[in-house]
Amino acid sequence: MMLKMSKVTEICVDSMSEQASAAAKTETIEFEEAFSLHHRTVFRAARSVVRDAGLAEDVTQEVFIRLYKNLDVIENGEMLRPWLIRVALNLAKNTVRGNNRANTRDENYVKQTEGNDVFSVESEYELKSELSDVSRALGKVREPLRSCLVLKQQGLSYREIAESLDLNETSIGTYVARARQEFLKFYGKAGKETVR
Amino acid sequence: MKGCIDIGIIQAFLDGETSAEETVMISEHIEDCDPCTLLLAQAEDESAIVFSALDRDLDTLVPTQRLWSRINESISEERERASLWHRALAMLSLQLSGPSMAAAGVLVVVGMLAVVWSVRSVSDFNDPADLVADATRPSVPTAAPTRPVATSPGETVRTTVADSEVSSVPVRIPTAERANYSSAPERRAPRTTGRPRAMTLQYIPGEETYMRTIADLKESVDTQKDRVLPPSSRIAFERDLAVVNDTIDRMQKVVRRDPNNQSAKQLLYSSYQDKIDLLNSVAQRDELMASLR
Repeated sequence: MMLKMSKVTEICVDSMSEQASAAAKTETIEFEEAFSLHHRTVFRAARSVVRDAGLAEDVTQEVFIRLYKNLDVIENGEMLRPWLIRVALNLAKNTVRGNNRANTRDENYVKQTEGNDVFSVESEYELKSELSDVSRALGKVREPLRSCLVLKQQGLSYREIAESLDLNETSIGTYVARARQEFLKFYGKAGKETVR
Repeated sequence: MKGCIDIGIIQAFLDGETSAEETVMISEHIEDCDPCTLLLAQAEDESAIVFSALDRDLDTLVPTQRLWSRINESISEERERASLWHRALAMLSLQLSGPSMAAAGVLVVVGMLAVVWSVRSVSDFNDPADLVADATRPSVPTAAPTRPVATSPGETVRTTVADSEVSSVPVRIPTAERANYSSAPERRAPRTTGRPRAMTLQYIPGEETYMRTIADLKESVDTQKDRVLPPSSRIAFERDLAVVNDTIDRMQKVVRRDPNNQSAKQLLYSSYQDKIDLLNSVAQRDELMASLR
């Protein structure tokens, strides 16, 4: 990891002038900082869409590789986090879309061969119970309300949320309030069931 | 009451997102408007429920170390490719620096372009043949992933997920490493935290305090984790713990071999810290639950 980075910088020093390698070093530091500050939010935002830790890891990896490639273009300011999240959400949505297509294909196949598999209901139940009540309720909240709620929970300011989701900053309050009400509507029932 | 407050503004007020003047205006209005006071109280209650629920579900541990190493792996590959280019360009510009060489340089560039062009036209010519070759095959690979459905639908979902992962990520850790974390906790946990083994080894400065803190925490967590953690978080916890233990294990080996390796040491310390954070998250959960009750 860090070893590798230093090795890479060594290689680069050979071919680059000192100035360039100094710039590369500050870039590396900036990148490390960006990763350590934001990877959690990126990972969680991605997971709220793909609902799978492994897929969220893939998305997070891709997000930071894109950041790395665009370090010179993207200013490392307060708008960095919204940029990362915007990329993460887009990648996550694409992942889900790809998966859905694959799932529909499988479902079609199951429909064709139905009749001889009694256990399909059982395994479907298993799949469903893997999700917690919270993520199930969250899944029912419409976009962009859901993303607003997740990003608010992750501690983003209204301005950052607006920037991440391409929304008007003045309407974020309304979105969060509506998201909160919708979530509670779905979670309320499920939540009570598990408490009792 | 004139100018009652919109629910969106109330939410913004609650989240501390209103400007100073707005804040004053809202608090003045709320003082003598019962419906708005009620609305604010309701928003406050609901927010508390919603966000504590979301906190529990979303703020689980993130596999920081694994992500960092995966990202670095693909970046260093990218870098190697880039540095090759860089060298070629550097050599070229070196040659161009002499005026007499400039002409030769131009010739080289033109020659390279010609080669690239001719190679490309050849490959264009070859393409149709490739297409034909591909066209004879497709039915086999597309049928393969769907077939297992008949035996077990649950498994198929996993295989398709794996497929899409492989295709979307050029470089990744071998699946064996990933599969580790389901089986690892039982095997690894006692090995790394076992005090006797660690005692026989030499500590690097500061390591012992970490080990002691971890051992203490581990004890209290072991006694309460069955009670405190619901099964789903329990699995996530064991998995995260296995990942951290794995890193600690590997870094310990590196550091024992080469005590002067500063970056390995740093990583070892940060892994210890990760582990403490992780154990703490369970230990404190109990307190949190108690405070909620």
